[in-house]
Amino acid sequence: MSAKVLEQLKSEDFAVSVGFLSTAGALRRFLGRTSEVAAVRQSLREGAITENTIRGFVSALIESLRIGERLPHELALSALAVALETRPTDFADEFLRGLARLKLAELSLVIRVARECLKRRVTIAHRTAKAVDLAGASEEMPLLLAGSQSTFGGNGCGRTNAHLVCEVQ
Amino acid sequence: MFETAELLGPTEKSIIVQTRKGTNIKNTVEPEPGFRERRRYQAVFDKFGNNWGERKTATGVYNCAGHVWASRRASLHDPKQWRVILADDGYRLLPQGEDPFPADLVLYVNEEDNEILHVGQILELRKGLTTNSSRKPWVLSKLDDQSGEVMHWVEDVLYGKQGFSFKIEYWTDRAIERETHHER
Repeated sequence: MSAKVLEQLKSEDFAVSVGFLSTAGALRRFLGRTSEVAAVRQSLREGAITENTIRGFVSALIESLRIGERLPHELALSALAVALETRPTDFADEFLRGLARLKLAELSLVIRVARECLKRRVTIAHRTAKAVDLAGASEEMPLLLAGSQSTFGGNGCGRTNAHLVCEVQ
Repeated sequence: MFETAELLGPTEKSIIVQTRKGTNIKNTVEPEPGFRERRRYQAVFDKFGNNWGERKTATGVYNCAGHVWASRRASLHDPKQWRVILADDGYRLLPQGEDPFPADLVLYVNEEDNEILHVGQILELRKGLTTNSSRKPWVLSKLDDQSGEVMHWVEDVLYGKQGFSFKIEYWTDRAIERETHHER
C-alpha cells in the first residue's frame, strides 16, 4: 500500500465518487464510510505509512495554496481529517486543531470538516473518560472497549494532550 | 503543519444575514470555483445527472441554504441554523397529502440524526414521463458551494447512492391551505 493510499485521495475518481454534499457533517459521515479513508487508517495501524508520511503529503498539498482560490485537493485533506479523527496521537490533534483554527476561504471546506471531526473527537474523549471514572480505573490503567481495535498501546486507547481518546471502529 | 496557511491571515468573508426575528446567521462568501472544481462538477453532473437540467454553471459564493434564504449572496453552512431560520421565518411542514407550491422548499433530512442534508426550491409540479404518471415536484438545487444550479426530480438526488437513509420534507411559508385551490 504505502503512500499510494494517500495519492488516491487526490484522484479525480475519488473526488467524483464523493459527489455533492452541502454540509460538513454529511461529508464527514460519507468520508468515514469510504474505502479510501479505511485504507489510510489501516495503513497507519500497520505501519505501511507513518504520521511523517502524512506530514510530508500535507505540506506538499499546502504548497499549492493561493490567495483567492480554493485549495486543490481539499477533499484529500478532508479525508485525512476523518481518518485521523479517532487516532489518539499528538499528531492527529495537531492536524485537526491546526486546521480548525484557520479562517481561510481557500480552505473553507476542510476547515469545517476538521471542526466536525474535533467535535466528535471530544465526544469520544468524554465518553471514554466517563467509562474510566465508572470503572474506577486509574488514568494509566489499560481500557478495553468492546468493539475497539488496537492502534495505540495495544488497546486502542491513549492520552494525547489533555484528552484520553480511543479509536472506535 | 499549517503555519504557511496561517501566515495568510483570515481571508474568510461574510455578510450580515438575519432571520425575520433578527437571529444572526453565520455565513461565508465562498470563492469562485477554479478549474479543478469546475471539472469535478462537470464530471459528477455527467455521471449522475442524466435527467437533470442546468440553470447555471459552477459558481461560488452560495450553497443550497444561501440560495433559498440569502438570495445567492452567501453560504449558510450550519444545518442547525437552518432549523432556526425555518422557525423564525414562519415556515411550516406540509402534512402528507398537501402538495407543495412553486417556491416552497424541499428538505432532504438524514434519518440517522435528523440533520438536514440539503434544501432546494420547488419550481413546479410536473407530469412524469409516462402518460399515467402523477405530477411530481421539479426542484432547483445548488448542490454545494462550488457547484452549479441544477433542476431535477425531487427524488433524483445522490444521497441514497452516498449511503444516507433520508426522508423528504416539504416546507412552506404559506398559511394553511384555504378551501379554494388555485390551479397549479
